[in-house]
Amino acid sequence: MKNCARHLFVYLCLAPVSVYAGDGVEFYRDVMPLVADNCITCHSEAGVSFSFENPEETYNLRMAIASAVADERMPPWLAESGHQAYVGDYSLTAEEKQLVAEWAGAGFPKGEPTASRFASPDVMEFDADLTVSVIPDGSYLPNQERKDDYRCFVFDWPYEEDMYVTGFMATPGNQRVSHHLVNFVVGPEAAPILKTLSEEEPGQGHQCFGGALPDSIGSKEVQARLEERFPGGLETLYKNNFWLSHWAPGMYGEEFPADTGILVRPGSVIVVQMHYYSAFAPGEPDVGTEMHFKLAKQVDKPSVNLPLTNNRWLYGARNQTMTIPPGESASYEVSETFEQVAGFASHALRIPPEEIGALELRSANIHMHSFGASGEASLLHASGQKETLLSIPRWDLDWQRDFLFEDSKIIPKEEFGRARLIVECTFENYTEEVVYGGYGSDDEMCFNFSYVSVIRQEESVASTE
Amino acid sequence: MTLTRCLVPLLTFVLLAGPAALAGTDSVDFGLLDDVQSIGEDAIDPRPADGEVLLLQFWASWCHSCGSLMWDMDDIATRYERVRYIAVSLDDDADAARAYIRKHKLYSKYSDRYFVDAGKTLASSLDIETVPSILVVSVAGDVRLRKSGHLNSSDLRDIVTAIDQTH
Repeated sequence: MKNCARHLFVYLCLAPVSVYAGDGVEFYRDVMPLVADNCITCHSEAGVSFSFENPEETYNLRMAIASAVADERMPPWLAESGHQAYVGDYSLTAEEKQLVAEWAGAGFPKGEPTASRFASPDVMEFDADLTVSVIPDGSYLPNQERKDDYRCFVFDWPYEEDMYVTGFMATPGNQRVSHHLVNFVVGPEAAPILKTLSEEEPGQGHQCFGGALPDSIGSKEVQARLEERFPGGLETLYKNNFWLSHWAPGMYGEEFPADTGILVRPGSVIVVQMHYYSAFAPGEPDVGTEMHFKLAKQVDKPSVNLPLTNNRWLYGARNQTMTIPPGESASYEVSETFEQVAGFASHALRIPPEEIGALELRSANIHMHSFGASGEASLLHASGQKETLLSIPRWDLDWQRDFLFEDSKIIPKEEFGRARLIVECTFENYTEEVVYGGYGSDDEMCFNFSYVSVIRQEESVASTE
Repeated sequence: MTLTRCLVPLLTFVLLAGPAALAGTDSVDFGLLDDVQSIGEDAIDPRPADGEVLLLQFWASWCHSCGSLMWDMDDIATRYERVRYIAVSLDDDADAARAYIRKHKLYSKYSDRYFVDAGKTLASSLDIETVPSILVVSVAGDVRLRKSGHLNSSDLRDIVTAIDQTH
């Protein structure tokens, strides 16, 4: 952003009443740069929705643009302001919203054309160390009988030594039907079990609304069969699948925070959970989505995407731990001490607990399903002070993402027992049936995912000294 | 792109339609429902019968969020015998709307309730600037609730509550 923001500041200094003094707000000079900076990453010919690259066509959408900005429907940035500064925040400032409102109020002055075409912000160069095509047969037609199709594809990790993923980019095979995707690492202990389950499903891959694991494991019968073949297999699956990376429209290559990476061990498999949404392009297949990874053999701060939830909620229909009565709202909250977080990191990263000197909390990402209404992730400091990491006052399933803090939070080992990570979710049930916690698309979940880096004991001591 | 080509005449129409149309109203002129064209072969009557609440959705074939919402609206509407749910497309080209419904198996089974407001008369009278837009309309034609854009669970619950309280 923000040539426009600079103009704005100048004008604000000169004009206490109006955002823009003098000539007033004009489309080409003032509004189109905002659109280019904040909207074209998704609204482009190559993007997921209609294009704003041609300014004349964009101007024809002026009323819809003004309405969407005024109602804060666009750009879709769920995080409430005032809590944390997030990397890549593309939400509009109050001044920018006022600018659009003034433009609409003045009758949408067009001004002199400045360009015939606007491009999205520069796309970073991404030199991948590993590129994998994930659709086994090269083409996959999303399920046309459902509005959303969550399909997981599995591929073998090709390295025979520990590697750390330090960056990621996805190239969707058909962006018009690709809503978003998430990669999971399934460790070598669980990889054969996961592959067996996936291969048992008809068609390519397996259905997986709830994450990397097949939705079928929510069934008692499937669980019983699994335990017969792989005693303890269910627990092995749960304990050995980890969120690796994700992509959503508007994202290009992503370097993980400096000096960090996520461990992938030999014998692991990667599960790519594709969320297909065919309403925009019915009948169109994914003709070959690719994953691109940057890799390192060593990183200073091994990291994990920590899932915070109550695992019992995932069987809400059976144990009644998560129920949302028809026509009512319900809230659920869970927290973990950083002692527990360190235990998870130790397990996922194969680092002895005693070597963890501190944890660095870098992001928050609340996850619910379609009955989610609002959510909050917070950090309870050892001092007792509660800090909001992410507040989403109006949940929308379609716009979830990682919110990476500009300033990470470091929790030293001495505070692990008292500091806590908390997530709370509020749901609204508009149906006539009870909604339960679970893996299915008609079930609910309450998660927070945070990128957490391990600072080893010796580095922690050194940084203290 | 196609969608922007579709929108140009619509928005131009809205802009040029004059203050009365731009202002919109809080009531539906049921007579304007006679002007919408059906998409399916066995279309229902778009006018609500006596005692029926109208659940009126505006959509377009190029609208990313509309398709998903049609699914949710159908789910809500089928709960009530006294609700008439119709979805009115603002596509300039009725064939585009028709092709969309036919192409997408998910929606083709509901094609009897999908219509096109090619003249934008109904949309303009209600000051519809955005798709999707949802209106809950009383038996007398009063608009009891308006929602537009990407709806979430709270919005859908508001719609259900509005239907429950509307006669």
